[in-house]
Amino acid sequence: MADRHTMQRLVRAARVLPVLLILGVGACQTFLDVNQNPNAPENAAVDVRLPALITEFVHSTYYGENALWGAEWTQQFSFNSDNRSYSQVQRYELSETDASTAWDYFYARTGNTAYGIVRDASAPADVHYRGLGRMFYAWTFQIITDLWGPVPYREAFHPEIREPAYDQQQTVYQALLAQLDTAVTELSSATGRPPTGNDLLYSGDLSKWMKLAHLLQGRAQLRLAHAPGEDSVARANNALAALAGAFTGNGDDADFIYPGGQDARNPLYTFQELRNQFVGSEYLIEMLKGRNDPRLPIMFTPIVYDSVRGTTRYPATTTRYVGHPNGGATLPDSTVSWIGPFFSNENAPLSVVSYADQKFTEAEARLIVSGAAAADVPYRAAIRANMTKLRVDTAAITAYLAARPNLSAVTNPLEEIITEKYIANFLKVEPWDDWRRTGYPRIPNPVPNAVLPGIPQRIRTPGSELSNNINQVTATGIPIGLEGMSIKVWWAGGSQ
Amino acid sequence: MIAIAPASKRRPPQAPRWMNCALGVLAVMAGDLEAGAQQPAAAPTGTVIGQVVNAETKAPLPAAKVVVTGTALGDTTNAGGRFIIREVPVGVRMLRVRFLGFAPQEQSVTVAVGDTATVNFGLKAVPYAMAPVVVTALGLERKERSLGYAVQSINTGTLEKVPETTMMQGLAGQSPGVQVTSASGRPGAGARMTIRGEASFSGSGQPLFVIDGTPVSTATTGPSNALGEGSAGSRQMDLDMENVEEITMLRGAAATALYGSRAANGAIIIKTKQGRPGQPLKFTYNSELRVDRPIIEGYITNWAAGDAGYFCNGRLLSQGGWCEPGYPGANTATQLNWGPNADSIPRSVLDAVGPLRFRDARSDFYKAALTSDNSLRGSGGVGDLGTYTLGVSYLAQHGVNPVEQLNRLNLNANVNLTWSKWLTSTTSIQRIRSNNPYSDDSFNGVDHALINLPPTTDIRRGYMPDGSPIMLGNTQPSVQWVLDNEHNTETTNRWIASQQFRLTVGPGIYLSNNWGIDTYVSEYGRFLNQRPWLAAQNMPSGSTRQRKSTSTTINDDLQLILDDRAIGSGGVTVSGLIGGNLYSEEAAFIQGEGTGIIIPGYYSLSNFSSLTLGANLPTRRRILAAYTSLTSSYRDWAFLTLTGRNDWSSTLPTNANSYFYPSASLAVVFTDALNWHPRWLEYGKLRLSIAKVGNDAPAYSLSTRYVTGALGKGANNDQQQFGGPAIRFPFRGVAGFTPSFQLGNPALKPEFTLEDEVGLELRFFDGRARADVSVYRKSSYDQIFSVPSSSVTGFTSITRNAGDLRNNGVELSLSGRPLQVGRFSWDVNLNWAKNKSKVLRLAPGVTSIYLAGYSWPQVRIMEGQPYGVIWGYGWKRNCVAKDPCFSGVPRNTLLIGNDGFPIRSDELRNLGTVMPNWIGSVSSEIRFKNLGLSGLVDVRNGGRIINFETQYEADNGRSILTADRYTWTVQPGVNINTGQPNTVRVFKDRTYYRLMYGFDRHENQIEPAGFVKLREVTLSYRLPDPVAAWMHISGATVYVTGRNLGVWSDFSLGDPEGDVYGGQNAGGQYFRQFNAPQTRSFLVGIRSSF
Repeated sequence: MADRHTMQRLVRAARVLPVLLILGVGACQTFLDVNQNPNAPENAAVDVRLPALITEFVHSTYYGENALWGAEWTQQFSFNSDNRSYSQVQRYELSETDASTAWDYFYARTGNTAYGIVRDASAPADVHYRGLGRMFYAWTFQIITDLWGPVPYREAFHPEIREPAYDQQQTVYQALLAQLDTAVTELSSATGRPPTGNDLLYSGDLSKWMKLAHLLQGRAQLRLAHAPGEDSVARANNALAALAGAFTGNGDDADFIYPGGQDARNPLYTFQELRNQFVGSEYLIEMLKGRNDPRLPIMFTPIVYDSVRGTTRYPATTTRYVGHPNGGATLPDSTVSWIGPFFSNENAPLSVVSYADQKFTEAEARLIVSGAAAADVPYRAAIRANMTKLRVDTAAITAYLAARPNLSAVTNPLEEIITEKYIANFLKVEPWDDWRRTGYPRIPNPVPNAVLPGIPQRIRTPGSELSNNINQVTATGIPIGLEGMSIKVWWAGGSQ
Repeated sequence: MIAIAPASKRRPPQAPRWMNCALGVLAVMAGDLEAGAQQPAAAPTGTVIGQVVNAETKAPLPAAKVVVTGTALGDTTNAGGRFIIREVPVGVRMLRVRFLGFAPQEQSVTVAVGDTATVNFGLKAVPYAMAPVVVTALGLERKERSLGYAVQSINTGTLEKVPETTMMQGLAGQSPGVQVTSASGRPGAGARMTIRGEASFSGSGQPLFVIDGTPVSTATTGPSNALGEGSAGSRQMDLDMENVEEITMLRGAAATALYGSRAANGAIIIKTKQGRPGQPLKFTYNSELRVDRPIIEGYITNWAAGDAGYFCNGRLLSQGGWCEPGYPGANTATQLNWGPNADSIPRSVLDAVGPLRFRDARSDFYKAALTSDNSLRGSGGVGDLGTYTLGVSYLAQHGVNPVEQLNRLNLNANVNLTWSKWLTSTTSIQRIRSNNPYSDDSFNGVDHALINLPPTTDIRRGYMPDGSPIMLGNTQPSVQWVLDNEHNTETTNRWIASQQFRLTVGPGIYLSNNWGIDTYVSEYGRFLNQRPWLAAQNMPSGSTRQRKSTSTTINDDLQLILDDRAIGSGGVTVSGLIGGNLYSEEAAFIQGEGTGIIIPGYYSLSNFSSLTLGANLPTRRRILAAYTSLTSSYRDWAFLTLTGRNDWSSTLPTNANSYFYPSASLAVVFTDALNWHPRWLEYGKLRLSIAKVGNDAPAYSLSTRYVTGALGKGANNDQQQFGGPAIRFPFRGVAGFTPSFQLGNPALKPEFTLEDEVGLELRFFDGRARADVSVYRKSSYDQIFSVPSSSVTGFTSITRNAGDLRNNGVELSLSGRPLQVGRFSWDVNLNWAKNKSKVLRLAPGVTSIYLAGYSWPQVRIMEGQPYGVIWGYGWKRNCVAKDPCFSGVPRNTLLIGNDGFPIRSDELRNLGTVMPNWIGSVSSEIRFKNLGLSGLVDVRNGGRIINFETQYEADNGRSILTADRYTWTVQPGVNINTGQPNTVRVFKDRTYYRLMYGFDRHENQIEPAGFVKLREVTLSYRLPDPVAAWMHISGATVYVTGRNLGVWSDFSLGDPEGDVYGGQNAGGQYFRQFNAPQTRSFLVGIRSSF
C-alpha cells in the first residue's frame, strides 16, 4: 500500500530530522558566538583612557561650547551675522537642546570617563592615575555646578538610579574640595607608576600636576569668598594657602598642544574658519585701545579694508582695529577685526590654566585679607605673566605696567584686578564666572534686543533632563525655561 | 516537463478516491495515461469523454475538474485537456467543468449503455479569478483559498506597466496598507516602504525583500549625513523589475511568521522569471525610452534680486557688481529676493543693466533627462530535462541634474533541472553592476543653491572670461562650478544567487534545500575640488571621502515538506513542513577621508594635506532557526494552519538566545461550507489569524564598550550649524578610549509583535469582481531600543526592552470589471487603508524619542501620541499650556502682541502628527481589441510635514508665501494683554515674513502632507497577430506612458513626497529640507517576443 509506505518513510524521516536539528543547533553554538564587536573593546586599561579624559576635558569641557557662551556674553568676542544660533546666544537665548549638548557631554563623557578611571585604577601601582582621574572629576563638577547651580552629585554615575537627585551647589563644592584634597594626597604618593607619553598635558611630570591641583583648590576656595554664609577672609586665606603650592611661573602653565590638520585642530580655530561670523567685540577692542594695551594687535587683526560705504571703497589700512557691537547689526566681514591667529590658529596651543590667572586669584585673595597695597604685587606679576606669554616685548610691558596706577591709589581695586584678569583670560569662561561674582568689568548690560533683563546668571535646564529626569528637576524649584537663566547661583549670591 | 506540479494541481478531485487520483495525477505528470483504477460495474453505464480548451485561444486546459453533477463521478483533464469518465449511469447527465481562472460551465449529455459520448468545453477566462497558487513565506506555494491572512500578488502584467526604474518606487500604490515614499526624483534615489504603519522605535522598519528564497539587502551603504549632504541611494536600486515574474506582498504577522524576526515589518517575495516547460527557445525584447522633467514649484519668479526694494545684480564688485543707487546695504552680490517687482523696474536700473530676465534658476539648470532601459531575455524548456532563462538588461538613466545617473547592468540566469524522477533543482543567479553618480542633496545640495537664487540671477553663465567662477555672494560659487567640481559616486558590484534542490522522498513528500547568497562590494566616493577663491586666501579646501563597503548575507533553508493528503475518509486533509534555517549577515568597510587638496582635481588620498583613515572590521549577526507549519483542511472549505518557529540569535545573551513564536490562521470558504452559491457570489472566505513574531537585538548591544574616534566639537559642539574642529584618536600619536554613551544590557530579551487579523474575501459574478477586507490589530511590545536616560547616570541611553506601540487598521482592496462588451472591457482596482497608531508607553521616565530633524523642529515619538509628531515652537494661544487665558475667547485662538504679530510660545510643543489618515490608490484599465488604456492614481490623505526651508526662503524673499508682499494684513486673534480682537495692521515686508515664518516660527513651517498623484497613464497597442506574423515575431506591444503627470497637493512646493534621509528614517520622510525635485516623465516603449 502506497500510503502506508509513504507514511513509514515520512515517520522515519521525521524521526531523524529533529535529532539532526538538535545536533545541528548544539554544534552551532560556536556559529552563534559572534557577538564580540571587533571594532570596540569591552575593556580598556586606564593608560589609554587617561589621554581621552584629558582631551575630552580640555577640548570639549573646559573649552566646550559653554566657554563660547560665557565669552560672548562677557563681550570678549561678538557674533557678526544675523544667522541663527549664535545671534540667538548673543541675545541670551539658549535652547533646551543647547543646554543638553553641554550637560550630556560633561556627565556622560568627561565625568563618566573620570569616574571610571577612579573606579578602575584601584591597584596600588595606579594611585597616580586615580589621583589624576579624581582631580578631573572634581574639576568637571566645578564646571557643571558653576554653570547650573544645583546638580546631581551624590547619585551621579549610578545607572541603576534612573532619576538621580540634585544636590545644592554648596554640597557639590564641599564634595569637590574634598576630592581635590584626596587627589593631592594620591598624586603625592611616593609609590606607583606615573603616566608617561599618554599624559597629553604634562608628559608625566607629577610635580606640575600637583601644582595644578593646588591651583584648582585656590580657585575654588576664592570662588566661595562672597557666597552667602561663607567667611570671605577664611576662604581667601584657604586660597592663599593652596596657591602657595601652585605654579611658580609661566613654565608651569597647562597648555594643550594641537598639531593642526584634520581632527587635530585647536577648537578656537572656529574663530579663524568662521571669521566672517565670530569677530572682535567693540567693547573689548575699545577697552584695549583706551588702555593703550600692547596686546591689542595680538588678540585681534586689523581690518582688511573699510569696504563699500555707498559706492566709495576705502583702501585697506593696517592700523585700524574695529570691533562689532555685540547684538548690533551685521557688518561686512572685511570691516571688523577678527580674532588674532595667536589664539585661533589651528596649531595654536590652548591655554587651560595659567600662572597669570593664578596671580590674579592671589591678588584678589590678598585684597580681601591684607588690602590693596598687598594685592598690587601679584596683580602686576599677573599682567606681566600674561603679556610675556603673549610675547609682548619687554619695553612695552614695562611701559604698560608703569601706566597702571598702584592698586592702593585706585578707588576700586577689585574692579582693576578683575578687569585686567578679564583681558588676560581672553576667550575663556572664567571672565563670566568673575562677572557673576563681582559684576566686573562693567560690560554693557543687556545687549540690544535681549530676551532676558540682563546677562545670564546660569544655564537653563537641559532638555534631556526635562525628558528623562523631570521629577528631580522640578524638585529644585528653579524655573525650567529661559527665565531660569536670570537666577543667580549660590556663590554669586543666590540661594542654591 | 516538470515532475513536481504545484500542490493544487495534484489535488484529487474527490476525496474518497484520493489515493487513486494522487497516483493518477503523478502518472499523468510522468506522461503516462494508463493510470486509472478498475472498479466493478454495478449498474448500466456508459463513458463520457471530451476536451476542455480555452475558448479564446483554443489551447487545451490541463487539470480542469469535470464532474457529473449529483454524482461522485468525475475526472481531471490531462495535459491535452482531455478527460474520460467511465461508468456514468445512463440517461441525461449534466457535466460541470470548473477551472481556476475561468468561468465554470455546464453541459448536458446523453449517456447510453456501453456507449461513449463526447462533450467538449470551451471555457472563458474571468478577470478576477483566484490564482491557483500563491507564493507565501519561505517561497511556499499554497492554494489561495487556504490562506488565513491577506496577501497581495502582483504579476508581470502589472509590473510591466510601472514606469519606475527602481523596485520600491515601483510598488507604490500596488497594495493596500503599503505606503511608499520616494526620496526624490534622482536616479537611484532611496525610498521608504511602510507596511501597516511604523512599528519600530529604532529599527529600520523596512520590510524584508526576498528573491527566489534569498533575503536581499535594501540598506544604504554610502555614508550619509542626511541634514548636510542628503543620503546615498539604497541598494534597492540594484533590483531590476524586468526580471520579475511575480511579487507577493506579505503584510501581516501571520503571513510572515515563518520568516521570523527579519520580516517583522512585512515581506516582499520576489520570484524571478523562469522558462516554460517544453517551450522552444523564445526571446523577449523590451525597450523603453523615457524623458524626465523636474517638478519645481513654490518659488517667486516675478520679483527682482535686491533688498528693501532696491535692485542688485547679484555679482561681486570685482565681477561687475552693481546696486541701484540708494541701496542701503554693502553687498552687491546679495541674493536676497527683495528687489523691485518685474512690472515696476526703475528706469535707472533698465538704463544701467538693460532689461531683466525673470526665470526660476531651476528651470535653467535642470535639463530634460533621457533614460533608456533595454532588456533581452531568452527562455525555453528542453524536453524533460528542464527549463532555462537567460536575461540581460541595461538601464541608462539620467537625472534632470546633469551630474546624476544610474547605469545598471543586470545579468540573470535561471535554470530548472530535472535530474531524475526524484530530484530537481533550481538555480538562480543575478549579477548586478550599478553606477550611481549624484550631487549632494539637503543643505549642501545644488537644489538648495538654486532655490536661494532670485529669478534675475542668470545661472547660464558659470564662469568669468578668465575662467574663474562667477560668485553668487562672497563664498558661494556659480552652480555650474559646483556641477563641474563636486559630486558623489557609488558603484556596486553584486551577486545574488540561490540554489535549490528538491528531492522527492515519497509520494507527496519532499526534502528541499535552498541556499542563497547576496554579496556586494560598494565603492563610494565624494569628490570636492579646491575652491580657488579660498586657496587665494590661504584657506584649505577640497576634500574627499572614499569608502569601500562589503556586505554578505547567506541564507539556507532545509525543509521536509508533506503535500496535502487525506486522513481517513471524512474529507480531512493535512499538509505541512518542518524545516531549519541558517542566516548570517556580515558587513565591513574601509574608508579614507582627505581634506586640503594639493593638486586640484586629483583625488588620490595621497594628494590631501590631512588624511583620516577609518575602517570597520566585519560585524556579524547570525540566526539559526527551526520551524514548522501544519495545515489541516476539511472538505476543502476550512483550513487551519498552525506555525511555530524557534530562533537562536547571536545577538542575545548566550544562555537566553532562544525564543519561540507561534501563529494560527483559519480560512473558511463559507460559500462552500454553507453550500450557498447565489449567482452573484462565486466565492466567499472568512479569514482569522493571530500571530506572534519575535525579533532579536541589534548586534553588540549586550555590553558597554569603549570607543575611540571623534570627540566633541570642542568650543563648537553645534555640529549642524558650524562643523567646528573635532579630535580623533590616535591624537598626537597616542591612543584614547572612553566609555560609550550607550550602556549595554546583558539581560536583553527578544522583542515581540503580536498581531491579529480578520479578513473577508469575496468573488462576485463568476469572477467579474472581487473584494478583500482586512482588519488588524498589531501590538509591538518589549521593543529593544536605546532608551534615552538622564546623562547623570554616565550614559545618554541604555539598551532596554521597553515600550508598547499599537497599530490598528483596516485595509480594503476591490477589483472589478464593470463593463465587458465583446472585445471591450473596463477594469477598476481600488486599494484603501487606514492605520491608526498609538504609542502606549515608552520607557519609565522617558516621554519622547527623537526621530528626525534638528533640536527643533523635529519629528519625534511621544508617549500617548500617534507614531511621529512634530515638535517645535508654536504660537501662543488662548488657554493653551501656560499661555494667557481669556474667558469668552475660544480656546486655541491666536494671541497677538501689541505690534500685531502672533507670539512664539515659550516652550516647545506638539505641533501635530505626521502620519496620514488614510492612503489609497485607484487603478483602471480600458481595453478595446488591441488597444489598452490604463492609469494609477495614488492618494495620501492627511498628515503634516515640516517644510524647513520656509524659514530661510520666506526671509530671503524666495518662498511663494511672500507673493503677497507689500500689502497690509491683520492677524486673526485677540490681543494678548486685553483679550480684545486684534485690529493692528501689519505691513508685509521682509520683517513680516521673518517674524511669521523665520527661524523658530515652526508652527507656520508646517504644512499638509497629503497628495493625489496620477502616477501613471499608459496607452498601449498590441500588434495584430497577422502583422506580427508578417514581421516574423510572435507578438509585440507598443506603449506610451506618462508618469507623475498630475500632482495635487496643498503643500506649497507642489509635491510633499521627498526624503533627505533617503528612506532610512521613519520620521525623515516628514522632514522636508531642500530635497532634490521629483520628476514628471514621458516614455515610449515596446515589448516584443519572437
